[in-house]
Amino acid sequence: MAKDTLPVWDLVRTVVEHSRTTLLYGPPGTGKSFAAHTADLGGRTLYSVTLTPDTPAAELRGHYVPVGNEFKWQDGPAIRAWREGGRLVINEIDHAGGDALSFLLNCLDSPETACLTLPTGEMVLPHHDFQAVATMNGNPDQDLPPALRDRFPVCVETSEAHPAGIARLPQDLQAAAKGSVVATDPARRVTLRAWLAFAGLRDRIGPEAAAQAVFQARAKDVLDALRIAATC
Amino acid sequence: MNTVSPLPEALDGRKWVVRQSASGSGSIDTVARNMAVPLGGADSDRFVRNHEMAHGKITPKVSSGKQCIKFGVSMLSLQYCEDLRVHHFLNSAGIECTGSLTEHDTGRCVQSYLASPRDLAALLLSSLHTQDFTRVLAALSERLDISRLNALMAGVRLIDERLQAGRGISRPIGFRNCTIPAAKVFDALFPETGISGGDAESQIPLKRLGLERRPAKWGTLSIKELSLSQTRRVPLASRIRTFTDTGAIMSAVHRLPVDGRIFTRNRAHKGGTVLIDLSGSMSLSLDDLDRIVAAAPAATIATYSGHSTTGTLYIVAKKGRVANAAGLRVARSSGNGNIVDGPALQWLAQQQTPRLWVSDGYVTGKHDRASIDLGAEAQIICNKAGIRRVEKAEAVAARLKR
Repeated sequence: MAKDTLPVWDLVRTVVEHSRTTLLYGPPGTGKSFAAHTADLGGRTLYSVTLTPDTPAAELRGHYVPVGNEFKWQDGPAIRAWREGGRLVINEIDHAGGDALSFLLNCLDSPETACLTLPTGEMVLPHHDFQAVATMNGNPDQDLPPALRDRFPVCVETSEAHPAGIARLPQDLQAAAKGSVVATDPARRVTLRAWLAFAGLRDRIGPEAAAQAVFQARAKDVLDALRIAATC
Repeated sequence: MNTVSPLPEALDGRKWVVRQSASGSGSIDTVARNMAVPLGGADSDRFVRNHEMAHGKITPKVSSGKQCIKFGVSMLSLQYCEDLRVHHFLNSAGIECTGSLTEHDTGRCVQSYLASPRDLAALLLSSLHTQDFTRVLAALSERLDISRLNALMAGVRLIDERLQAGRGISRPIGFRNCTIPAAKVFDALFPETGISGGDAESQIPLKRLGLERRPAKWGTLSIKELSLSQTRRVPLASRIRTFTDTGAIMSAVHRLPVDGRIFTRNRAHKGGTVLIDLSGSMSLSLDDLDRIVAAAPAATIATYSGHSTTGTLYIVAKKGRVANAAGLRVARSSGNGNIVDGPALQWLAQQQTPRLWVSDGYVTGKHDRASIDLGAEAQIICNKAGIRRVEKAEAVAARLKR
């Protein structure tokens, strides 16, 4: 890494705190959502949603709920974040179906043009403090519709494991986790969650059983690698 | 995650590319962080993966070719000694070294290496401290007589002892402290061109020199020639002229009526170079010198010995002049220690052949410290330059006459 470039997670923290829309992408289990949640909120409220192909726009925008003998409108997380100037974290944005996608195109539009008319007839404009942080595993240029991709001019690839996640591991697992979380070959990738599970189980049921439970066919190789790395 | 695969990322916490090797062998590039290994579930495949992982951990990120040139060792000896160090490392890490050879492979290897002691030693060395060793030994026992096998084993064990004597065997520094000295012993015991000078007796008895952990160094050598008053003329060293009946220029017409041999041809005297160790118990008399000069009048004879950190090489016979009693006294005055065997042998390696070295084979460096490393270096010089070692000065004349 060149001396004049920031370490990736410092960059993520900085842009998430200051950018209106940010897209974080990279291998699973590196700590993208963690960074989106923990970067300084600046007094904002945090809202978080995880999209699936079946997630309806209503889940983001809001819907009527029965209250006594009448139906009352209830804002969804996106509209609440709009109104209050909160931070909306959208996990797995590449999984958005057509319904959610058309809502997001409007929701994430630039402040000058973003405007939504709710089914109640109310027109809502985004608060100037509103932020959206989206995460995904694939390649945004290939996996996102161009219009949605265009909503995220600030886009950072998380090519390393989050240092805070690594720090939660015992010392002897940190190097292995740091490298394997972002392994180029997906078949060889071991997520931070897997390492955390192994660390937790190892203390209780022993390294062999823990490795067998977490790493399956790779158990022996993982244990051998840890022994080799620890021997000096 | 359900396929077998090594985890080289554990070594440095960086991204690695792992691919399946075409053969059952493995390789690792710690600079580009590439690894090619068998990805099967067999114990032999796992052994290869662990072997390469251990290389990644303890083998320095330097070109082995450059290291060979820098330290004057062969690529083969460097590779096999480093493999041996890797096996020591894996054992110390508590990882089972199952080996990667089948009985069939072992038999085939041994059969193809039978003619080359160097290759057999390399095979033994690379299997030492793994379960392959039992298979290799069994295959060798079937094909070699016991004396040859014992000689091989003695050499291999000496190399292993030297490797283990170095500091930091499980760390990258062990490459310099353990692998390089062991590789020198390997090259000394099993030279690329067969046994030194064609006979095993002329080899330096390395085992006698002891495993010195501290690195020993040669002393500084100065080369001196005796003055005219310290030498005498050797009549035999004059030009030899033989008369023949064929030639181009008639230079002995007076022989026409005698035997018709009117042409002459200059014939060179027997020459060569003799280096004599004058330290400690080694001795040289005027009679010895005369005998050598009589056997090879054109021979250059030099003596050397030293004291503390320096030594002197005196040329006691050259170009028809040989040391007298006073000259010999001067030559003996430079000390009682060896100190400069290595530099003196390097001087000998540049002189006229045949090259003989009169020494008991007990080589020492600065402060007269004996060391197997210096012995190995001296032996490698002898191997490369075809220098033969003889124990006594009396034997030199007979050797030169051959």
